Amino acid sequence: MKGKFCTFFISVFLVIAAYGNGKATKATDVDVDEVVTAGAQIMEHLFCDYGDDTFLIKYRNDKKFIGVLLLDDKNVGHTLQVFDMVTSEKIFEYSKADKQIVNFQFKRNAVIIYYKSSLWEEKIAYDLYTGRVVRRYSSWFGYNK
Amino acid sequence: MDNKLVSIIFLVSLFCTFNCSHGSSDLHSQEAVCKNPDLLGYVFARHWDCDSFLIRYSPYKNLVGVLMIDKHNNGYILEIFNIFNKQKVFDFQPVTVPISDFRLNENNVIVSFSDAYGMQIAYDVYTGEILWQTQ
Repeated sequence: MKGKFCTFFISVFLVIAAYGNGKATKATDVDVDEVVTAGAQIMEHLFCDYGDDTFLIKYRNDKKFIGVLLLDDKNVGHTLQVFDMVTSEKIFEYSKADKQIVNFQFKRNAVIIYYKSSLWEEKIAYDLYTGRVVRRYSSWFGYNK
Repeated sequence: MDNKLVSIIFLVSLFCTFNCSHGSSDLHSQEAVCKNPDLLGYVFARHWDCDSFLIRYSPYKNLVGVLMIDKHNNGYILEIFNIFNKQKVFDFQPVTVPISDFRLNENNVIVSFSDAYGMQIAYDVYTGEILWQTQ
């Protein structure tokens, strides 16, 4: 009887573990050639439109999205664009003249934008699909790069 | 009167010639920049594990530099390519101090490091020779 219980619990555990593992998307699950080609083509368009700029490129961990921060000759980030790697479509764009972007990072379905600020660390998370503000972070000690 | 007219025509044609040739050169560079997805694709594929890149062009658009950046925001490999022949001309991997930034000129690159002093070293991209460095 005890053995049956153990077997039952172990099998339940294994099923949950396998399901959980299967759901996680890793960079190794995606087609390398597809992502590389899509990334290069997206950049090709950006080079043509913003030939004089510098580009800070970041992939999301699973390589499903690519974010491109456009920096001017003074190293000031002025526009952030995020593209879907499967469709190559632009899904998010942020550009404001009064705010200088210094960095960005992906967090699940949001992108966190770091702004230049001398007094406190200013960063805001935006939903990639809706463009809405998801969370505002603020703390002392400015993010200066 | 005729001489004046000839002079004006000569100056106008000189101006047009200069402008056209200058413009076509710019177009040629711009076209070369746009038409190198294969070069970037090669870089992306070779550094598949890297999630972050900084890409800069030289002012004359003859060189493109790609800095591979790790999760801690530290540059760990800098590769520079000639846009026209797509050959890698410079490759640099710092041993101790990571790279924070770089700037390209016509034939050289100024590499900035993430140390306390903000050290900079200028290299000739074709020979790898150190041109100057901050103390």
